[in-house]
Amino acid sequence: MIVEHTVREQTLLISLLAAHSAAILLWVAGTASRRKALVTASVWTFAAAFALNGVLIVDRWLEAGRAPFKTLYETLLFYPWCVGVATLILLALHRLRVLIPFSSAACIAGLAYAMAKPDVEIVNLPPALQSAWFVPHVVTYFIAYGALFLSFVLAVLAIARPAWRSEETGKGFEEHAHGAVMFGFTALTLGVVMGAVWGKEAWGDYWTWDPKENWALVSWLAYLVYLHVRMVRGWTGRRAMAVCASSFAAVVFTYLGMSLLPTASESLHVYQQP
Amino acid sequence: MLLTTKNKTAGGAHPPAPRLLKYTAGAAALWVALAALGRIPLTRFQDSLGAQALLVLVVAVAGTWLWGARKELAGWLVSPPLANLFLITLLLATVAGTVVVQGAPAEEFDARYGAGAWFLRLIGAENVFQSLAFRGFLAMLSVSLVAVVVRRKAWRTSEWGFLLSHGGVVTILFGGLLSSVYGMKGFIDLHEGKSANVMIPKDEKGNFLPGQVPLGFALRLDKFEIERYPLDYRFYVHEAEEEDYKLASSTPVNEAGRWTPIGKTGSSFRAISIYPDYQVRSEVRETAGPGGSPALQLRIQGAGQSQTVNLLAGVSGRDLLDLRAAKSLVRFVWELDEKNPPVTTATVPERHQIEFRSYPGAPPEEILVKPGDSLRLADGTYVLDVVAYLPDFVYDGKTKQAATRSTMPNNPALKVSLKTPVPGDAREMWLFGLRPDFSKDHNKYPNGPEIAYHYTPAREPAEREILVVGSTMEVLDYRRGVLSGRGPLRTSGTSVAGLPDIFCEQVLARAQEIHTPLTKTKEWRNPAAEIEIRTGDQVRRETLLAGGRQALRIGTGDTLLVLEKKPDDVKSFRSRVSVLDGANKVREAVISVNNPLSYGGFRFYQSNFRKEDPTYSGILVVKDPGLSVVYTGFVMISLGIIWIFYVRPRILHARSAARRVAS
Repeated sequence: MIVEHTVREQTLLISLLAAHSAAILLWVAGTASRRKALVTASVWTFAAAFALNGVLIVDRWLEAGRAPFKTLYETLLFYPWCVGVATLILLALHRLRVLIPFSSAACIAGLAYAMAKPDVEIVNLPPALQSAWFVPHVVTYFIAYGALFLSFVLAVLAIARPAWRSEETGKGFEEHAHGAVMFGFTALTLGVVMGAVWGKEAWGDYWTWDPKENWALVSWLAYLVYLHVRMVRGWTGRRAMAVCASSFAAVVFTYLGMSLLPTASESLHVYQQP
Repeated sequence: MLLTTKNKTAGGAHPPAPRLLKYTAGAAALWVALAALGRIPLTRFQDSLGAQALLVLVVAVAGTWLWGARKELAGWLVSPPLANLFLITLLLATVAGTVVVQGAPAEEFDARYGAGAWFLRLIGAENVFQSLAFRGFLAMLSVSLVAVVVRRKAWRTSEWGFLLSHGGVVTILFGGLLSSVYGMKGFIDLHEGKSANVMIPKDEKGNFLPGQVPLGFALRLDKFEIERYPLDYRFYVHEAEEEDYKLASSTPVNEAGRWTPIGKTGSSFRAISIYPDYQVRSEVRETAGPGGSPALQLRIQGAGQSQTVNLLAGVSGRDLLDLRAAKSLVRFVWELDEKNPPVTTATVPERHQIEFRSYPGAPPEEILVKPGDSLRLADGTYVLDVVAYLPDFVYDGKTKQAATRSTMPNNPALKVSLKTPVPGDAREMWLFGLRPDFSKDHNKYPNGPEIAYHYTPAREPAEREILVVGSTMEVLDYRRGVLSGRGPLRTSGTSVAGLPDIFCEQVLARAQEIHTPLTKTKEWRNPAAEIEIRTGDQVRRETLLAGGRQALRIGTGDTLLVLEKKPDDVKSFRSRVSVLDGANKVREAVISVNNPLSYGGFRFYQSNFRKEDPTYSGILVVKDPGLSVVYTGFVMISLGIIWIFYVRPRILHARSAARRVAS
């Protein structure tokens, strides 16, 4: 039943907001009082929120009978999950618990935006999106967005706290930021390539200089500039991190800024806003 | 793009700022020069000997200078700042290509950017991606990338990532070049059973070019199929938002049985009955109570079926039956004033009636108007000017003007201008006689006045006008207004006044008409719903017709409840085609969106369909000889990046470990 699904989705959204808020509070309390147990609880709360977010996506997937990545609202439910994936990977690899409050805040922002602009109904999938490329293209892209968000957070932390070193790994924020960029940029590249191949199958063109494509290119070039100043020109420290952090602006604009462009009305990619 | 360790000039050896300035200025100057060069029509060079000589001279001078400076040039081509310069230039150019409107007509461009238009043209921003500057920079980037790969001797294992990623970009650009030089695009309009052996070529921007391009074989459309999502009718609530309406809720018909809130109005609704194929059966029943009117029940005998018609005496519009085919009119009266019978003797002119409400739900003002009238409405609050009348309204998309197709009132439309109390606020609008509700909904101010237009066509006197008099059970036959016969009304067997197929069933002195809604079939042909609307303690019942014919205004009037089909219901569309070589069928295929057909060096894409022409299929044809090169580049770049980030560090790590062991 559609009405029940809407109610269930609202309940899940509110629970998610509560879980992420709890994760932030636990982290802040744990860090301020230097009580490790609270920080650990914050990590588990975050993991629980991530699982709940997965339930939300699967529920909508089943209700819609298709992958729920069609509208802005649907991607706003998916983006927090991808931030979760990237955060949990970094937690597992490098024990970067400092990411929890930032990731949770980003999730809250996305979910609150989704709650403010919910889809009135589940829209039908048009023929162009009915492709085997739909899910891998979108998932790869959003995983890239998630990783690049973390690279942004880590770059800002690296600028603020250049001397900080992890007790476990001995690495600073800058190295982690760079690691997140490497992962995010790889995913971004694969996402663009998949999009191009799909575009060729659907419309006969792998590249049409469509505004969304162009901004995908701008994001890609922005990170390429960062990678070149770091890996070729040997920039390190604050100025490299400043380039890294500012590159994320292109990603945000690619995701959410399209409707501001005068050329967007011709775009085939811009999210429907019902 | 050299390794930092090898590049002695990188970092702090030279003060970077002046060089950065020099490079930036150089790139900007080069960009503008290329943008300007790209604006010169090439034909001028082909036509003029002087211009050709000049071009040769420029190329020779530039070539000599570049040859003299080749060492410096080679160093410059592989220098790291240049890589960033290219990246940043392309980045800025791409941003410009999305921020500035692309490929707009000159007047539109000037109007939009005013004084800044010349500058945008100077930097080629009006058409970035097709400009010589953008392509020139891509070409220079390619040359630089090749130089860098060679310089770095990037074929060693640890450098494979570098080779693949940088070589991948060059490969993609080269493939794109092949595609744009040797590729082509075209379009085929196919109809079921028809074939085509040529396509109409298109340019890069998708505009049609003159002429035809032969395919070398023929493509026949055997069958075109459109698949739709299951029919899904819903109750939609729209809320007025400034100029437009915003969708506020969607309730499927099968879930509308419980009370559902209607937007922010505080009212709610629920469906009592849903009729997929709505029809109303009307019956008359004798009544003893007050009210009611005399009724005549007629049976019209058609081929194989009969239909019952009830005429009600004294109810305007319901007391007559117009038999156009027999050029006759049957009117039912209860008592007859023989000196002044209700028979038309002269032509009644057409009538334009305006129904005006100063706010939704206000008592209507009903006024007969004619073109040229100026009315003061709602005690002079509003002024309504009747500007024009078109009997057979049509909107001409080419001239963007309203016109009339004929003098027959097939689609009567009235153009009016409404002045509101707001100074300077006047709105011109078209009202349509056939769709009074349409006028109401499409010309509305939220909470503001509503105007509906009712049109009554001119009436000629009927050849025969038959009066059925209920009180005396008599039939009077008028021919062109003159009484030509009279006789008793019989309620069985014989037809009324000799009219074929019209029989009297019964006459009731006082009757009430009872309407019973029903569904004719189970198919969703004419959906309607009977609903209840609850506001506070009050519940009212309404019938809501689907398909945009009716919208219920709720609350203060800026919330609408409609019954509509869920939009975008086309799930897929596909063409079953045969490839023909002469008369032989060489291949059968199904082309659908995301599933093109490759044949004979072409790819055929399902492009579009036409709602009004279900046998039509639009096929996009693409010839793209650079495609495999581009795809190779995609693979290279993907592998290259993975190699650089995740394989190379392991190789280097293993090597240094091995070296440590050896030492």
